[in-house]
Amino acid sequence: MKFFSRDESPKDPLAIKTTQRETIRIFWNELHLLWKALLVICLLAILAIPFYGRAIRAKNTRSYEQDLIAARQALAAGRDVEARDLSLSLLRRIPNNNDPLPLLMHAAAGARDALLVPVARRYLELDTHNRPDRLFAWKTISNESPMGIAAHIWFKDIGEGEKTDPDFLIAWVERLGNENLGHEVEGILAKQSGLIDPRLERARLTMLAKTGTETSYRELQARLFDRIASHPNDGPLLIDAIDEIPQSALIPYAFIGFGDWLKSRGGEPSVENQLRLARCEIVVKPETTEAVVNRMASAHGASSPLQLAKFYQTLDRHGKAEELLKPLVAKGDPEAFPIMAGILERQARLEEWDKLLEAPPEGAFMPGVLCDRAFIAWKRGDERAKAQFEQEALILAEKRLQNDFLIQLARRASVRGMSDYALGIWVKAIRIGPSSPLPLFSSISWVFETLARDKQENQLADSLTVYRAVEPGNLDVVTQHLYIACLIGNVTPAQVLAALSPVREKIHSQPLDFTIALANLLEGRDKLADELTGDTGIDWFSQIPAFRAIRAITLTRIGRKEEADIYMEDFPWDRLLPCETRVYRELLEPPKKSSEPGNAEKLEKAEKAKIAEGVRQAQKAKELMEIRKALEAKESGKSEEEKIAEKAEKSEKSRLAEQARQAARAEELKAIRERLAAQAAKEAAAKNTPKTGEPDDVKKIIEAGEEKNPKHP
Amino acid sequence: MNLRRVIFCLVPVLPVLTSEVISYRWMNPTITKAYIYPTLPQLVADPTFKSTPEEFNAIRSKIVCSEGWLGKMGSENSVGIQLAWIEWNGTEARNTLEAFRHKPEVCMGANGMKVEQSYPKRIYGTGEQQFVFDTKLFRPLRGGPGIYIFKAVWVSGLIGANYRDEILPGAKIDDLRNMRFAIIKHRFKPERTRVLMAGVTGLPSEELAWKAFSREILPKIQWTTVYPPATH
Repeated sequence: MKFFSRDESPKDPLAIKTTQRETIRIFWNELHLLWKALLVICLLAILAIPFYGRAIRAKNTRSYEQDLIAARQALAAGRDVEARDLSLSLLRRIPNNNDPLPLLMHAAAGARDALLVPVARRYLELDTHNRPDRLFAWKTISNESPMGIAAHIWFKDIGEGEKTDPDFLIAWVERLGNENLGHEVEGILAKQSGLIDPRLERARLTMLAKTGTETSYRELQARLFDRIASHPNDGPLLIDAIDEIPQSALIPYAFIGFGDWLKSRGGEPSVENQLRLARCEIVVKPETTEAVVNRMASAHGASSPLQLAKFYQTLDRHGKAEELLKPLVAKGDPEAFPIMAGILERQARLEEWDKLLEAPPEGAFMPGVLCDRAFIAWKRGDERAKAQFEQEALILAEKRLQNDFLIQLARRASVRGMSDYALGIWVKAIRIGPSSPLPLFSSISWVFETLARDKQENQLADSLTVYRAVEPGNLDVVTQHLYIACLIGNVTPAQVLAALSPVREKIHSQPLDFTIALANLLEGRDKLADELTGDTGIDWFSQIPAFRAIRAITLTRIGRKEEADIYMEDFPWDRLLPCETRVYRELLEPPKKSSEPGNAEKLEKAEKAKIAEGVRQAQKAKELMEIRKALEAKESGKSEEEKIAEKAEKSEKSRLAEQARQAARAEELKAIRERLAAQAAKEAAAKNTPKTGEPDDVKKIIEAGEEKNPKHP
Repeated sequence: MNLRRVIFCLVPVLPVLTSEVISYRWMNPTITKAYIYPTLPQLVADPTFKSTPEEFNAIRSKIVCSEGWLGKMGSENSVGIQLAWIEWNGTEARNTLEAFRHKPEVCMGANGMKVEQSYPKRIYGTGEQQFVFDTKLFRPLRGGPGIYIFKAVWVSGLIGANYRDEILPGAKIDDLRNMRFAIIKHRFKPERTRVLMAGVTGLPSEELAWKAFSREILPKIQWTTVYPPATH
């Protein structure tokens, strides 16, 4: 097929010159229709591609922005689930774009979604600058994530400027306060220069009240009245700290300081402040107590019964407080309920307390109420009711209306002295893992100790695994986790060594050394284990039994079995975990030769060598047989008499040689005996002490000589 | 029908018959020597031992075996051992190869376990009474306690059988063509084949697992000698 033709004729000088345009036109006209169509399509495609890309991008952007606006609108309208789903889809659409992250964070918070904590953490890790969002994220982390993770983020991801920002600081201080880490709070407050933010000052006053000593109460009041005297405007935020001071710890100056502050504020003081002032007045003028109490009762008895009941309670007038609280409790007042419960508990009126708890007001912490009812049942000896209430409390808490319900319940059970119940709840709370506000490992180390004492090794291992994720920098947690995980077979000894050996180069501790030693023993490196456990300064018999066992295993492995037996005398096997007992017993048991063929390669080699040796022996025997046959054939020429004569000659020669050797030996012995006797006589003469018999060394030498030269029969 | 015609008809059949007879004679040599075979009785003396016949019946048809049992022993406080003892008696090439074919990584993988580490083979016993154990550490995909799997194949007349290596010289189980040639060449028709597979849990190292397994289970293997029929 001819698609196009070209003029192949030689150039004619007279031919009319064609322009470039005409050439193209001619080329186009001569082009086949198919090529023309293809060219047009290609040109159109080249022109369309950039436009198409742009159009797609524009469409995507428009759709993205529309969805972003829709998500914002949904969040503003309180449709949190819709906002969460939209922002999640936006994040998935463009993975590296983190713009929808704060949106997702707020939506997850509104929808009470478990995504909240990880999203907040991710947002803080990013180099973001939106203060409200960062503050929201930090408050979320501070309130809802484990203490170890919160501390890690505070020191790593929170900027230096934010660390001095009171809004950020107060969230952190409150968390530290909740975890009873008073020293940490004091450390942070000591670093503050200038005038401390009143919220931080309030946190300090709470910490002082929690300390609960006479000195701390004095310091609290000194700080409080000093601050409100110099900065009266901070008073409303700080003054309720007086409620945390018991009546007996109030100082007389409180009346003056508080009165001055009220005067400086001007106007009519609130009911609460009037009652506080009355408390201070009673301290200054104890003789007027009844008058003051009656005055307050007549002034506020009808209008503010709850406040007056609290006032009575601080003065230990529980009867009057109870009278005021009863109608309020009947109405379902949420504030009156815990005060009333506290009064009944203090007076040990179990039946009335239980009756009160039967109908808690709305908003009460129901797992806590049921825990209290279980406590009452326990005190009344009703084990069945106790178990029932405990179960109900646990079921309610596990529904996880809030992340910390289980933790609150565990703490309540600990306070009530129901330690077994508290332990079970703590284990459940730990299993929830990083999405609940777990305390520091050191705060609940008793949980781990109890699990170890109760030999619940699987629960112990699970709990340590969670805590290793929550507090990755805590060496105690890492060591304990790897020790248990190795013993129950969750990690291999090689993994233990890989994780702990680099740490051991910098830090030395007995648990660390013994864990590494155990891993080395399991890996067959007995000398390294000996180096790690060979500290002579250790009082082995007052140490953890596991250390003794590891030392004994090391000694057994390096061949000092007798010493190992001393370490294992009266060993308290019942104090070890089942996995420890299992592994240590296996390690202490010497290998049986019959059942322990050793390394496969070695055995194979030994087997091969045995076979080869057999073959060699057979060949040698064959050769010897041949030589013997040849010799026999050679000697067969000699006569029998000659052979007998030769044999007799040989035996005679050997006998004579033996006799000569015996005689020479006897001569030698005689000479030695004479020399030693002479030496002994000389020594005896020198000492003037006559000796009888031969000296011991002489005897020895003679005996040795006789042994070497046995007498022939 | 005369004899010539009969012979003529038999001519094409004869080579076939002859080759059948020769191949039968080749693959069924007369047993002249005494031989031994192992048996592992169920460990009923151990109070923690629990047999699981229903599990054995489930796999029995798949592996075309004669006898066997599955079971487990050990409590929470002691070493746990899961056992499988499979017997093929009067074997053919087909079901003997079944013993070699099933690799632990396949069946354990189906149970959500992955191989974490392989160890050098372990040998128990010598000569004809030798078991060569292939050892591997398996762990659940999501992490958790590991299980040490020891598997050995014992075949009568084949010293040191190991299903990871060549079964016969130049023949592996994966290479069926060579395997068939090797079976014919070496007149491979073992009388008895055994598989012993054990999963040891609760110990942190392969050495300890082997120690416990070789102490608790392997000495309980019983050996029986079979003498050839008396020849007149």
